[in-house]
Amino acid sequence: MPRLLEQSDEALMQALATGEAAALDVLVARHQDRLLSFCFRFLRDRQAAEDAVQEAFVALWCDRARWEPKARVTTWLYQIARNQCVSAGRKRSVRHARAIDPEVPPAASGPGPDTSVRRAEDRDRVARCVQELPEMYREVVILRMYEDLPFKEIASITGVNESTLRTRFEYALDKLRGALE
Amino acid sequence: MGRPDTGGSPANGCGAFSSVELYELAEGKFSRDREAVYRDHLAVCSSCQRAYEEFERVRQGVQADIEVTALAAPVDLAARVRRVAVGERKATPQPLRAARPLQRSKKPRSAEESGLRWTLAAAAVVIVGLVGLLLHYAGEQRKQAPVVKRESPKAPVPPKSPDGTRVVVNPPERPPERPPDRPPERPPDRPPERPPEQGPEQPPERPPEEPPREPVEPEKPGPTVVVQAEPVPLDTCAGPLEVVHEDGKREVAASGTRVSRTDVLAAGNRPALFTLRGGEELTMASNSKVRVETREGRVLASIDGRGEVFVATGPKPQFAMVLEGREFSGEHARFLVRNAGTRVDVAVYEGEVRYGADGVVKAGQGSTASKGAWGTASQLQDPRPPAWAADLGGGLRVVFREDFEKALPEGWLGERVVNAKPLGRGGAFAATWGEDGFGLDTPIWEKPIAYCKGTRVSLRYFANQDTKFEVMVMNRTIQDNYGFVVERPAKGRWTTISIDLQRTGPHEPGGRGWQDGDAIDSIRLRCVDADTKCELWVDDMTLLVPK
Repeated sequence: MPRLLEQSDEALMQALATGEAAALDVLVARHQDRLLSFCFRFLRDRQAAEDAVQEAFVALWCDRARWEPKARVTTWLYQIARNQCVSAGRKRSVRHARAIDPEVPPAASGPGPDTSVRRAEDRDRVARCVQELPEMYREVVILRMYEDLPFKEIASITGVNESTLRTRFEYALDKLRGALE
Repeated sequence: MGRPDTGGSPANGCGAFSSVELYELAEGKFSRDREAVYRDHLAVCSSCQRAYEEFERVRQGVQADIEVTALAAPVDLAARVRRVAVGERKATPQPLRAARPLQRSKKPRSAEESGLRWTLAAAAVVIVGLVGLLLHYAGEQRKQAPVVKRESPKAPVPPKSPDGTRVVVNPPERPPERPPDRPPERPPDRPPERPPEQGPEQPPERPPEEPPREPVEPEKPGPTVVVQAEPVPLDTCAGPLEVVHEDGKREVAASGTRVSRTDVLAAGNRPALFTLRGGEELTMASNSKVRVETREGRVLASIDGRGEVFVATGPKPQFAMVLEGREFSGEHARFLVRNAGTRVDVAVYEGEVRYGADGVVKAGQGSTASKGAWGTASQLQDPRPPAWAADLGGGLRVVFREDFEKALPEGWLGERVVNAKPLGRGGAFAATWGEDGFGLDTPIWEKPIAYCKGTRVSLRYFANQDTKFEVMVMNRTIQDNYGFVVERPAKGRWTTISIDLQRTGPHEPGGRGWQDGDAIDSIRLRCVDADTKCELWVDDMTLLVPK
């Protein structure tokens, strides 16, 4: 196990491909928080996010034979998790507007410095606006702004070309900017 | 000024920079020199400066939200994953990607493993005996009514009832078969001749009667055993591919690995793809067994027993698909070969396929022959070749097809039904009571299909009431269902409808029509006025787009 802990993601995937289940534990431990946050930002539902992460890792295990060394493991994980979120989102509701999850603390409403209040308000507005974006825009916002991924990697995750992604991001940015006005 | 190309549109009154640029400037993504260019402009342009400040606020809002939404996974997540993945899904296929010799595993088994295997084997013998007794008993009571067997989506795949009339462009994960000397029971997947808006119901066409079969020749001895020199690279595998060595030793290059519907869709409906040395591709359905041999400088692939193989040949003419002593060959051709018991079918999608001395089947055509006789090109004994022509040459391309012949993945609303009385054939999908009323949902979540003008949805349905129902196609792009109401459905008979999506409308008031590129990710049927006695089945759900 200590030896596995020191290995790269790619080496762990190679180990996984040979059926070494312990490698899965290491990959889960290494990426679970990041993926959970990603899924939560996508779904705004902690339970659904946990389920999505669990299913993503299960899918990683089931599809381990399909992983190609040329692909980054994190990219692949994001891809699987994103698909899980899309599926989960569709299962939950396809036509009803999403609400901000009550688990997320509301904006500070008490007295305090103006900047702090304003920043909290901006956070609320931004978060709400992100959730109200259509899925195709929301995913690029989350991957680009929240996960800080380059467009090239987002293209690999979503299967959408970079040019289209930039156009979508442009649209989403204008929406977000408008939400603060 | 050397303005970077971001592909975005100007977001402010000045128009010098796009929103993406200004946001990335706020993020500090640019080099010092490049940032200086932007800063110089902002210093003299109040419009851009204002936009930049607003994007800075957006960035700060996002950062604050990142802090709030950064979650720690529960401590037992890893254990849950391992329990589900490694525990319950232990039967998951082992990796096939790693290069390996074409030899059976010689891994020694532990005593416990051996004991367990013997126990399971003994149990299997007992079960087989019991099943035999039951079958014998059942055979004596043939007058009993047909039984409807319902199967949950999670249930294991039951033995399929044979059926050979399905139209395929990409080979199915489990190919249809049909019993010998039995006419096809369902029509090809062709759009109805009348458009649905004029009368969406159309009874299925009756296939022509098959001519009497010629006598079946006795089985011929197998071809000479020769060599396949290199391992066969595998992507996914659903059926055994046997390689015959020069010394007579036979090896199974890969054995039956089931792939999920998701995998099949992701792989372009290729359940088992084998690439041979010459670049030929064999796509095998799960019940197919193929033997690969080389003989006289040629590569021969033959189907052992029943089965169905989709062949894509390369530039070399040395490859031939062998079936019942016949050789099918062609360069740069794509064709389907099927051994259906007493008959041999071939359908050609691209190029032309030669057989015999001068037999040729061209693209869009098919040929069927009884065993022991050569089929003549376009001497059709079943209705599929015209349907192939419709799919291949009629300007439409199948981008999604579900025939419900196998167990379905989770998340589908409805029940797969096999051997139901109105079906009389393989599986279908039965509507159930759900949150949205009486209906069913066929999701295409994993790989949405891009809409383009002319996209059609086609399906067959059977309803025991003439209660109207709605066919809905989900437009993921704007997250709305687009519906088409079948006002007076045919009652008590299988009926094919084909709907141009232009005829469907959005549910949201004021919603726009379909636009090219809109993502389609599910097909639903809903029967809002149905009562509890309503029964609705669908089969052969297909999405077609113009070529």
